[in-house]
Order: sequence, then C-alpha cells, then structure tokens
Amino acid sequence: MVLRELGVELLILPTTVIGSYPRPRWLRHIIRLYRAGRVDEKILQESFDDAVYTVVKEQEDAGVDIPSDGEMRRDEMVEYFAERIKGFRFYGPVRVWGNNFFNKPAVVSKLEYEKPIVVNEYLFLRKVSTRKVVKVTITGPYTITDWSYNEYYPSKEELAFELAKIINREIIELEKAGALFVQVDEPALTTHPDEMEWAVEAINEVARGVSIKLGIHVCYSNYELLSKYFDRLNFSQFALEFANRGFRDLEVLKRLGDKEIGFGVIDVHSRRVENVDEVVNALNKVFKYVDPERIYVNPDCGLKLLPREIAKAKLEVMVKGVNIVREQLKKRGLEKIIMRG
Amino acid sequence: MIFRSVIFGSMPRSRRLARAISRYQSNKIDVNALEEVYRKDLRKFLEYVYTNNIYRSSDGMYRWDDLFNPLANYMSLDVNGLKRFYDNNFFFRQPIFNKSISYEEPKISKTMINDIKIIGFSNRVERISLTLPGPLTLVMNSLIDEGLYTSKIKVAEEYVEKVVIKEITYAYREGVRHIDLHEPELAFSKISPEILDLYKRIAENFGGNIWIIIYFGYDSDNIQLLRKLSEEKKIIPVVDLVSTKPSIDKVAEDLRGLREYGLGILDSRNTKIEVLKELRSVLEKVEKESRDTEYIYITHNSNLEFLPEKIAFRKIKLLSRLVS
Repeated sequence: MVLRELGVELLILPTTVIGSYPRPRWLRHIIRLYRAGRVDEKILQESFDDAVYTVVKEQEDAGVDIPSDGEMRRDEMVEYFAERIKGFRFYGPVRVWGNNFFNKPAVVSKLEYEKPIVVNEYLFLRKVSTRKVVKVTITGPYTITDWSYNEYYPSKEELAFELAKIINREIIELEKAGALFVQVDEPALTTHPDEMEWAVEAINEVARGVSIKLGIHVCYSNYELLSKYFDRLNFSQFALEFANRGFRDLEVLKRLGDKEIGFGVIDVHSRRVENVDEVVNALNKVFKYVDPERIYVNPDCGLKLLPREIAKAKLEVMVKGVNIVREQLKKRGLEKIIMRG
Repeated sequence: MIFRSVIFGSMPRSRRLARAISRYQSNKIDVNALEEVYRKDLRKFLEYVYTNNIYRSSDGMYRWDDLFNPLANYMSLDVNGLKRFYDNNFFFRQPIFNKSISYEEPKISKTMINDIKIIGFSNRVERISLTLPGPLTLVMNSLIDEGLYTSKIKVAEEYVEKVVIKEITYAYREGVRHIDLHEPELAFSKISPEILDLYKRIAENFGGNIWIIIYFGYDSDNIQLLRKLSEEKKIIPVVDLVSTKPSIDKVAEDLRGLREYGLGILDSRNTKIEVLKELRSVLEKVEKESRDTEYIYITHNSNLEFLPEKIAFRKIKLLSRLVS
C-alpha cells in the first residue's frame, strides 16, 4: 500500500484521542432519567449535543489537534452499531468481568444497512470543533462478529465479510459527508490467531474504494502477531497501546514500513496522571523505530472509564510532552507534516 | 446405556443480583440484603433444575466473579489486572502466587452448603456439585513467583494439598457427592504424569465422583490418558463436542471402555437453540459407538454464563427434553 498526501498540513506529532471520553455527570443523570421514562427523546438528544460541545472544548483546551466527539452517544462500542444494523437482536446482558455487563447482540437474520449510522455524529462534531481535522471512530467488522452470537450465517467468516460490506458503506458515506480521518476499532483482532488470515481480509473490505485517511486501533493484544500483518492491512495508521505495557514491544514497529503509528503514551486504566518527562522519554524511545514524520500521539485507548478531570489532565500532559519534543524537532527542521491516507 | 442430563459451572448473573451487588458495593444495602438476593437466585436455579429432572448440577456459581475469584482471596493471594479467559470476551483477575497459600477453612464448600440449607434444599445436596478450578488450569492462568516456586507443578501440588483436599473432605462429610474440577487448559496443554498423580490424589480423598470438565477444545491424547485414570478411579471426564467439533467416532474411541463419561453437546457460547431432532441423531450415533458404557452424561459445552440468562434457562429445558 502506497500512502498518498491528502493536502492537509498538520504540526509534526499530531495529537489526538482514541475515541471515547468520560460522559459529564449531568449527561449520565439525564440518560438515567430517560431510561426511567422521565425525560423525552428530544431532551436526551439535546443533552448529547451539549455534551459533545463540552468534551470537544475540553480536548481542544488541552491542546489536542484532532479531537473526537468523545462517543457521547454510545453506551458500548458493539451494541451501538448492532442497534443500528438490521438483523441483530438483543436477548439480555452478559457479564464481561466482575459485575460489568454488555448487551451482547445476536445475529438472527441477514444483515442490512438501512441508513447512515454515524454520519450525523460526524457532521455535528465538524460543526463544533475548531480544528482542521476531527476523528470519527467506527467498530470494525471482526470485533462486532467476535462479540456477537451468530444464529444466522453458516460461519463466522461469512458474518464478518457481510459486516465489512456494511461498515465499508458507512465509511463511504462519511467520506461523502466530508470526513477526513476515520479510525476502525478492532480490539478483538488477535484474539483467535487461527482466524487472522481471513479476519485481515474482512477488515480490508472496509477500506475498499475509500480515499480518506483510515486508521485501525488494536489494543491489549498480541502485537507480535499483529505486526506480521502491518503490510497486508490497508490502513495508513496503527493506533496502538504502549503506555500500559511499559513501552515494551516497540521493536514490532520496525515492520511498519511506510505506515504510521498512533502512539499510545497515556495509560487509560490508571488514575495516576503521567508526568511530562514520561511522555518525552516515550517519544524519544519510539524515534529509534519510527521517524517522527510518521507518528501521531494519543492515549492508549478510550478515556471513558476515567474520572473526567483526570482524563483532561492526562491529555494536557500528553500535549505538553509533545510540545517539548516538537521544539527539539524544530531544531532539526521538522515542523509540519502533510496528512496521508 | 442410560443418558442423564448434567449442568456444571456458572450461570448468568441476573440483573437483580447484579444490581444488588452494585448497591452493596456503594453501601446502599447491607450484607443481609445482598445475601437474600444470592439465595433467591440460587433457589430459582435449583428449582428449575429439579423441575426439569436434571440428574445433577452445580450451584450456579452465583458468588463467583470468575473461575478463580473469590477463591484467590480465600487463599490470601493478591490478584493482578484483567486477563482474557481463553478466547472469550470475558476477563478474569489473575491470582498471584508470590507467597505460600494460607487456607484456614473450606470456605467454598461451607458457603455452598450453608446456602443450600437456608433455602431448604438439604435433601438434594448429593445432587449438587462443588466447583473448583482444576490444578492445571489454575497454575496456567496465574502469575507465579519463580523465586518462591521452582515450577508450576509445585504450586499445583500445594493447591491440591492445602485447598482441594480440605474443601472436598468437608463437602463429603456434609453429603456432597460430586466435585467438578474445571480444566479447560486440558484442551490446550499436554497433561503431565504429575498432574495425573494430583487427580489420583484428589480421587483417593473423596468417596464420590470427581468430574474433570474440559472445554473450549479437545485434545485426544489428554482424553486417552484421562480414560486410563478413570478406569482405576472414580473420575468422570466431560468433553466439549462443540468448540472444535471433534468427530463422534474419535471421541467414542478415546473414551471406549469407560463406565461413564460426559459429553457437552449444547453450545453455551451461542444463543441459537439447537434442534432436538438433530441432537437426538447425535445421541443415537454415540449410543452405537459406546456399547460398553453404562451412563453418558449429556450437558452443555462450557459455562452457561456466556449466554443471556433467559437463553441459558431455555438450554437447560432443552437438555431436559433431550434426555427424557
């Protein structure tokens, strides 16, 4: 895959987020009231919009170059898409760990794309953000497949390819609406090593005919295995988690070739706010494996499980660290990059 | 040959129980209120099992967060962050063996038997199994301080001596006649002579049945070794016929000569309800291939907790219809 310049200039080491951001307390309260039938749909939607305003402003205040809408409207990354694709059914929650549940969907008939799923989210985010580029996240076909029950398709593989067609259609709609950067989330990708061959092919289907920037996010996974497929996956950027693993496994990045890394420098499962030196050191470490022009900087994963003030503080530290490194790079004549897809 | 239905492992946690746990953790209800909900769910489950003529079942493991917790806490061990439970979108906290196991009393069996007494099921205790992680599965899914233990097998031995034997001895005294050792690891790792010795040791210390339950895959060599052990001891292997779909012929051959064994034929990782007729044809085939076998226990392939609650109950009903 040869990367193309997309004509958008960004500061070197663009800072971004993976997607989710903590919902404001008042939004959680309104969602509870909505579920109890005490406020109507209109109030709920207005609250979602207001929450997006709030969290985009927080990301921008922290200095993030490429914000998301914080996934304010999404309860869960698979459930949200399954609710909006025809052919899924929900029987009830299943436990994921401890006392935490998710509504695992079941595929009960042929899947159909009825209407755009996140295009309106993108359009609203575009209106709200002051930045040149915003990020839209979308759950990938393999992860939706792996985290669903399959009652209809003869095989898991066939289900994944069907979903890939649907996700591809959605990304094309996003491109038509003006989106520049879409990230496909595939945390399940390396879960079943024996399925990787066809899983990669299915995921590539979502990129078919797409001209904008496509990233893929894979976290808490086997990166040694994933790196064998860097070349075959038709994505310009791999957003990976490294803070959680103490910046080990960086050697796998040698296999990136011309592609980019979305470098995770913030641990989202710890409430300790990193210090600026940690971010600077992490960046200096990754430069041994990847050129600065091919690095975006982000937290390891979505921030939604953190208290909001900690999430913001972590983003501020991340940006401060990046700014220090940018000054160092400026002396080498490296200031800007052109976004590639 | 007689087919009997069996339920093992964890059932889905109900919304009611999840809410009660959450409220207890945020100090909104006291421990008595939480206990009441635990027992309501246990009673509902056991009544359902009884009504559907299930030969024997677990206690639904409603008090467990995963296969190793709260046991790790009872062993005075620390636990690590979350780790994926094999290839499932289900995570557990890894026990850390960085100090010797300290296990004062058989807390798992005591709690279970107490619950059974309180809900008025004491007369059925011999048909309710006590669940424990198998020694191999426990050590392969734990973090072990290599300075303290020279090998994983040392940990497994200590676990059997200090925990398993204490639990099963108490359970037997209180009327429990079935112990379920969950050993999904036997679908992936080769069984060693030391592990076989540990199973022997467990069986020698229990007057009832030791069920070794293997799920998420099938390893023919391991099953053959277990068969040899089962011929000598009161050990009943249970194998998963769904996850990797081993052929019935091969499974029957591996288990040939055993007086009793278990087959997991209902898929507990898919909501699709199996067709009774198709299941019956599988049983007919099994029957033809297993002439020397006295009892075949028909069950689900792994924990029913991987299903939404209402589907798990439907699968129990199906199991009952299949065997009747």
